[in-house]
Amino acid sequence: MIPDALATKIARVMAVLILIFVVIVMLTMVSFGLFAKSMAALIPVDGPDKIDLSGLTLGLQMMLFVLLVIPTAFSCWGLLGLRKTFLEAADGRTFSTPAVSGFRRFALVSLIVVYANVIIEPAIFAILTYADPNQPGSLSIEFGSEEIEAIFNAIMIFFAAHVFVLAKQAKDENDAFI
Amino acid sequence: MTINHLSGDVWFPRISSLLAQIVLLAAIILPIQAAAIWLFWSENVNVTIDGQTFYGDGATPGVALRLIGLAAFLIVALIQSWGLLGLRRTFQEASIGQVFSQRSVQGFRFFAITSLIVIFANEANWLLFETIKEWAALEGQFGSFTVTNGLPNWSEVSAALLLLFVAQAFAIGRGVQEENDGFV
Repeated sequence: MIPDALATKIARVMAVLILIFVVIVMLTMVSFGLFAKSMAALIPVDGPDKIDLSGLTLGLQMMLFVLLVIPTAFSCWGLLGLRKTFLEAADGRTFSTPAVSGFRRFALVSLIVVYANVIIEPAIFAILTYADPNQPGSLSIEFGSEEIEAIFNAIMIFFAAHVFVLAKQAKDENDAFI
Repeated sequence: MTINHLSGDVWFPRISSLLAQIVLLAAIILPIQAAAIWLFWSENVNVTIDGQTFYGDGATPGVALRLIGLAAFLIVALIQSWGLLGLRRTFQEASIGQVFSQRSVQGFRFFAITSLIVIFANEANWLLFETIKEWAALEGQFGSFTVTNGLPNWSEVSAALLLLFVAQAFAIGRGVQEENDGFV
């Protein structure tokens, strides 16, 4: 077992990292959704990998914004649930109701996002290539070992969330005895 | 009511049992995959790992370089597999309602620790891989080293820290269960 002091520190650091990550990711996605054209022009890549979004119409940009911001906001909501778990754990309440519900939320969101990405990522790719006059509109659907690993990780987090639930039930039972 | 009864949901033992099988499969595949890179690396065979394709490019390493690479990759893959077998123990125990048994808790902790070690070891291995590739491309005429920042992917480190946290929760949960059993 990790010493309590170290576990508390890890939990606090993770809570801070999650908050920073959530803020940065949301700002990045909202910015790209709003200013995709000008931001793509800033990417310092030449040759075939250069992204040119000069063909991005208002309709496509709105679709891009929705596809970028809504799933990201949903993922961040899940991460903030995990942050709650870390904060509770840092205060010695690993199996409190907010901690357990936070972890369950994170697990559920992780599982949904993994499956949703199978549709969302190709859709974003299709919009970006459609808006690029140098490339024909194309669709790229990938399902390989990375996707399988992501699904496995999401199911494992779900497994861990249920372990939290079981531990909380046992703790509640103990408290009732006392 | 003990915690063993609480874990008697329908889906939890089934998922745990399924995950135990998947993890066993992964533990077998990982060392084979690691060895395959060095055994089948040739000008005509391209190997794809984590989405990156490694071409022969006329850069076929000799026996000595292959053995060095094989040893380094295999050691890390075996550590990873060993950790996965720890995770498998956790899933096996969970499938029979013993999610907080000592075997289960130790298995998860072992998995969490090996996951953290493997992240850093993999970075060292890819540095070695690139170096060997360059040596082979130059037909051993000159030594060449690829210098990267050597830092692991921070999302992987965060995931490993999350696993350590869950391992800690497992250990605390075990303490709660023992207390519960004491009452019963």
